Amino acid sequence: MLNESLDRLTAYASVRSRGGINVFSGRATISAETVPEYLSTPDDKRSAIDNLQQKGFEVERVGPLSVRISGPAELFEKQMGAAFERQELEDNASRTVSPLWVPTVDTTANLLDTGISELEGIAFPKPVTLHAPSSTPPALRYYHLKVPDDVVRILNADPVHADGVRGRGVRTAMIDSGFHWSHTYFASRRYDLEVSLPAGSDNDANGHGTGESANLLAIAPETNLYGLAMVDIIRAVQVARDNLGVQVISNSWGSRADTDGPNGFWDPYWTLVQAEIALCVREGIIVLFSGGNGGMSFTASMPETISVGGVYVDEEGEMQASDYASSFDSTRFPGQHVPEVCGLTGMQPEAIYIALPIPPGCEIDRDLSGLSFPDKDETDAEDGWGVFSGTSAACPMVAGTVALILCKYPGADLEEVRERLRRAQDVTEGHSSMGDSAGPDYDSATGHGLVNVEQACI
Amino acid sequence: MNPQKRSSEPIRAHVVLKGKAGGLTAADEPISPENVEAYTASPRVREQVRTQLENLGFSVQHVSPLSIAVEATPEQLENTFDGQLEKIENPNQPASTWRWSKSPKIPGDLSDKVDTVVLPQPTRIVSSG
Repeated sequence: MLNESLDRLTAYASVRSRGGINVFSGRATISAETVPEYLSTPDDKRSAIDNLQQKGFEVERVGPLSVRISGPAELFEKQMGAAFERQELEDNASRTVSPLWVPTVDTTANLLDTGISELEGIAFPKPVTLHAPSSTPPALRYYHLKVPDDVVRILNADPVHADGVRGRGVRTAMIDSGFHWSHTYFASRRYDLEVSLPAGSDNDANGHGTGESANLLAIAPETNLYGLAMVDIIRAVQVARDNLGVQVISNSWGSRADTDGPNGFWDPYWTLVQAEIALCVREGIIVLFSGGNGGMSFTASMPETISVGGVYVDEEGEMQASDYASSFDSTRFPGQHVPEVCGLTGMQPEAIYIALPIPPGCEIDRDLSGLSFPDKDETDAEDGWGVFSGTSAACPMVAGTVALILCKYPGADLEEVRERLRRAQDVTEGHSSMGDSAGPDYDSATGHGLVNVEQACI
Repeated sequence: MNPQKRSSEPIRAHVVLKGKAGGLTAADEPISPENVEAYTASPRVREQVRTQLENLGFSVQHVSPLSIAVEATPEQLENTFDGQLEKIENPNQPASTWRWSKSPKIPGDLSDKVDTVVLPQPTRIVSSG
């Protein structure tokens, strides 16, 4: 409760401490052990309340350590010699400024000598910080991308957005670690968001899903985005398909152990996952998977999913295959190659590349803080921003592109979507984490290249 | 991944149903959007299996054309399906996962409708940093 009007100010009066040390004095050392010394006797408390009421103050609440009182500014001035000045309280999240009345510095001492012998002094409420993260990333000394603008620019989404194609009416799901969409970055942009699993929650202890959703929303800012936590992948897929009726599913995850490649390990669970995804595709849902950051997951190589690899674009706009991203020929699905198309991904050693909003103090926030780029991101451990990427970041960018295609061409099927995604920016330099080289036209490292939103939506 | 001592907390499992083409895990063709429907169970079979699972004490979480998600204690699963479970702790997963160390057997009264019982396996997010 802050004092926003001189007509009624609120203050806290401390009644004489039974231990003999004034709670406002420099000698007071307050802890769980010593706090009983700062409680008041019932007699002192009763007498102080009587005195305050006789002077015209309203006693609002009597607590064990203080008495909350209120009255007009004139009363505090007359009875306690206080004067007040106006401060402005800025709220970065809502971009509003509220007035706040506080005692002037030169009258603060008077508040410790109130003329009421049972009182040690009074204190006025002060503003506190909620530690809400900023809606913009911190300034960093190294080259990196910011959402949404840099992602929109590099992937050529601006002309499509300018034509009013922004994903409205397309239902998109993201299956990931969780979604902290109360972050000021999202709140300030009025996205259409719903955490669907677990219903109504906004938790993301890891931070990954929160950050990756910003990549998708950069490209498709008006899609209806449903967040599904990946506690049980099958459940998430079923809910997206059977309950939410989504048209696009973005998946920045894969099997923990390789499930493709020469040493792929298979559990019957993955057969059911494969079948659930096949059922999604049968029902017309476009399913996209990250191609991997050095791993080989069957989720990316399934013939009916779109696998997304990584391309790095430097400060001069030069493109090269990300050496952080996977590329492989499937052994589980002969003839299939990962990736099919690419989004943006950083480079070795840690692919620290895109500043993304995440829950303050989440795992990614803490893990990436501290040391210098390129090993860590140099952001604060609890600032609600992390700089990261991987093909996790690339997949939602392409998923957002698919949402724009479906927004403009509602009847587009998987084949048409694929054909449109192939109109990508050709990447001819660099190599993938597996050593495949980029080259003119289709290549093993980047597939058809870096997605070109404008061309995909023509 | 380290095998750990079991607990009696309920765990999630997926009871995979049989369709016209039989069981998914016994399929001799790759599962695809073109053939997956042949592995879905009819609504009548889904309901029959749901009822049987509930009668066995399982908590049914979700019924889909391909499978029924249940929660049950490891002991319930082992006793019903005559298998043996092993708990796996994964440092980067929010929850521990389980695997069959002795494969499950489908009881006779379910064997014409149920293919197998699978347990959620570890995933990883494809992030950097």
